[in-house]
Amino acid sequence: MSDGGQAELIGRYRAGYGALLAALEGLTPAELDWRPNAEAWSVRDVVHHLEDAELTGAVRLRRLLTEDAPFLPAFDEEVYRRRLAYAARPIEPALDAIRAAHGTTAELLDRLTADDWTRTGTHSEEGPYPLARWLAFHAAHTHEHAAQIRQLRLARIGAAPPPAAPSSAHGTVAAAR
Amino acid sequence: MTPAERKSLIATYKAGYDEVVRALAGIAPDERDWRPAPGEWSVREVVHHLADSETIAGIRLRRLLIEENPVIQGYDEADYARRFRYQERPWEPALRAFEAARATTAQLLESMTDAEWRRAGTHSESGAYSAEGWLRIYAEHAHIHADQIRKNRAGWAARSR
Repeated sequence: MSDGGQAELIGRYRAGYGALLAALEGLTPAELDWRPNAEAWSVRDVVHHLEDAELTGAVRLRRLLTEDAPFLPAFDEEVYRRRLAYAARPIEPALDAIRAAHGTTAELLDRLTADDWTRTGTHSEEGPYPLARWLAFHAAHTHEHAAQIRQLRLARIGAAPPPAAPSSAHGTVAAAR
Repeated sequence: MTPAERKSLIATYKAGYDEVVRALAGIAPDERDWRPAPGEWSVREVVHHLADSETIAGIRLRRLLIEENPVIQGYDEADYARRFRYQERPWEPALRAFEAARATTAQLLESMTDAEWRRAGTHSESGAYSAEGWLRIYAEHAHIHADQIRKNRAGWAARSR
């Protein structure tokens, strides 16, 4: 690794799954499927999105490393969410898939050579897509969605109706948790 | 393809991971890295091939379901084995990736409609590529490599006798 920034990003990529698990800690069934409004994503949707996005990312990295200037088709996350029935599927296989895709892909990132860092492809919507761009995106992506899950959990507390008989000023939050 | 054929192939697909685990049962460290002949894969390389192949397969099926006539890019599995140093890498993460890709993709297979099974794209090397064609390939893919693992192990046992 020639550049400390790359090593830091690879470390961040590797830490993504742990950040996701931490954000999900103690999640209840009601929290898993709550959404702020009919169009918004639930925690379950976010986990399935990560499954598909990170598997797609793993394949894109392999294509960047083996093909000359591969064409990388865009990934329409809303269409994936609806067509692949995210709201109806259990999340445990998705979590396993995210962990596994990160595990094997991090092994590749650790072994990249200076030549590998010059490789590039073309994204159908974003245009030139060098390997460094892949890493910048995927280093942050799982962490961003872990933060989204935390926000969803907090928003649900804020949106919950007050309990019938709060015993103190702090009763609403305590009961909703 | 009749619904009964599809159901049977999906059951084979779902059994693929366990079939590979059975073929690997009790394998010794030295057996993992032995190649039957120069240029042929070791058991370790087969396991890494399954991880990459099944991850790619999962994305191919998703793209067939989502995109209109997607181009499915072929890949050179021997090049993957060299470039991604299959022979040097631990295989547990690869087994987990193979298992997880099959588990999530099996969720999709079980709820696909007749219209979805007819969806198709174009493979960069082999041409027309339908969801049913995908199922024919990947239903047996892990079983084929489980047999390869068994043959490797038989060859290793004969050699070291």
